[in-house]
Amino acid sequence: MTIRRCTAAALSWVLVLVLAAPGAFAQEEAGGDEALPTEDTPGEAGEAPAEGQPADGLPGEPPTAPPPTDDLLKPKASDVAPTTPVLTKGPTRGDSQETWKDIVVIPRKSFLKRYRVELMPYFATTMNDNIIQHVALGGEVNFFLTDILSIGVAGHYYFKNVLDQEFYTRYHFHRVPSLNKYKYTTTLNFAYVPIYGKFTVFNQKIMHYEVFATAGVGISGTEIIPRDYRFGAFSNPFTLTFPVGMGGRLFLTDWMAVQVAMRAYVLLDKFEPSRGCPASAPNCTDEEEVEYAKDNASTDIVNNMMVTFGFSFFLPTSFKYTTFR
Amino acid sequence: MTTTARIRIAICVGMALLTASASAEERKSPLDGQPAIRHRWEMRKGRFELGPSVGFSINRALRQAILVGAKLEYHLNDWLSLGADFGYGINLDTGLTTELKNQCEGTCMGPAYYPDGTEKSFDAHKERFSNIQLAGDVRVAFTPISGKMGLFSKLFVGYDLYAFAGLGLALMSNKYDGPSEIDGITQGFRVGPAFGFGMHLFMTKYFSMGVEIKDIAFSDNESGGDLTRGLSDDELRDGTIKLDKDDKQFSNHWFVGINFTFFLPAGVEMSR
Repeated sequence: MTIRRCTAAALSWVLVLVLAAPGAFAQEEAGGDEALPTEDTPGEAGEAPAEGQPADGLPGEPPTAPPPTDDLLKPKASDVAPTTPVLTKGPTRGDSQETWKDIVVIPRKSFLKRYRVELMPYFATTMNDNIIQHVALGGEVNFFLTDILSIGVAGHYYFKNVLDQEFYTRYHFHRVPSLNKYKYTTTLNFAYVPIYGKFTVFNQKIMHYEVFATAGVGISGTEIIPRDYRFGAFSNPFTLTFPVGMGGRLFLTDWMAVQVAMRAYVLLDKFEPSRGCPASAPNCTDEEEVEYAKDNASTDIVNNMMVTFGFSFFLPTSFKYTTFR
Repeated sequence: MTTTARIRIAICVGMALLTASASAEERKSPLDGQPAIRHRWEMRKGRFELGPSVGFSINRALRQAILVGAKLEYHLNDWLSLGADFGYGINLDTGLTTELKNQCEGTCMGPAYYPDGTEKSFDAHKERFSNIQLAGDVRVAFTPISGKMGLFSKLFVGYDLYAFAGLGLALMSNKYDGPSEIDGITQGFRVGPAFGFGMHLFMTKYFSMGVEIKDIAFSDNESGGDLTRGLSDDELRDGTIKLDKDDKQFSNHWFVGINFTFFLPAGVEMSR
């Protein structure tokens, strides 16, 4: 039993050494004569830094070509950092010759969307109505025809929240506002991406983003909130809706982004008219009165500003570049 | 081989894999820990920012305010600054006020609202409404994000995004000449928290256009009317309308604004 234990332990340590060895060798190679300076190789304390090597131990600038004298009309390959794109298949940090491949003159676009599908659950809230607020939960599916053009469908369900101002309007002015509550909206959208870019966070982390403009057409369902509770409500189930908006995506991974957008939903909505039975049928039933009110409802254009916040998930979850790095 | 021995071998193999993984992570790129951008123009560090600003209220119910003023800020470093932004208020009727006025023809604010039995026209009643005469904030701003963008591959501008928080201040006024208790709720100096976020677009190395959205929260009563239905008065408590100090509501005042600011000194340093 003791022999077995010792054998097992010995085997384990051999495994440790074998698996750890490539990393150790890689470090050794990187620290060789031709290696780029690293934080571990700034020189001994008190020793003047080498030419082109800063004293703070940071990596020096890439070696530059000498002035074009007659002797040096043709700079040696070893004097010049590889500034042309180099096709690589994976991490090459272990090779000192290839370490400069971490630095490219023109980085590729960090995120490609062509022929990918975006799934986005989102939360939204109205911004510009101080009497009734609506919050909404919904989802959007977009297909990217190109990297900057997409087509998609979206839909959300509303939850109403009548605000204090509604009560104060009744209390202070003895007037009851005409209010509609929204039930749902579904739209067909087209989107275009005119701007993309990147920024740094504390000059350390680079993040990529894009700005898009979107427009479309759809329908919404609304319902009046009767000014007098004795009267019934009626619905406008298919209200023509035109969404336009602008937003941005902040890319977190190859398949996920955060999206924030400001969208205006322009509705042709119908509002409650004066209530009561028509003069021609003074003893109408409640149902007839509601139908009469619906027929006489006034149509107004409503600009419903909403801010949406969601997470975008892209399928397939990865993409391939077709150009050299 | 016993189960115990198998477990021990599994633990050892696991340790081996962890050690190998850690070794792989020790390999460093020369870019690790380095600034994302070298030779960057330091647009903020050690500079004053000064210029005119305009803000528009977006959630007032009865009287909209346009704040015309100035912004002053000192940037201690690339990401931290101290400053202030104040504006004089120009007040206008909102859509709701206009709609109410259209509904109220003649004397619509009746005796129920004025216990002395008088009736008022809507315009006379409107004098009770509170106006934002002066408003602004003293702030600490935090700028974690900066970069540059190209608009249609033609116009290239630097930009940054910042958030701020601080102390909000406001001076409220009305045009009412009646009982002083209305002045008590719609007039006077207000203090509260303020916060917001914004963006600079650097058109040159010393001039930027900015967009900002901010909230100044303080107690307010827009209509100059009773909010508590007299219930806050322990002695009264009969529902009689009475205006007192309780008829104010702590509320958010959101503003969207733009500013045009100059960064001084005009010369700008470059990072290493």
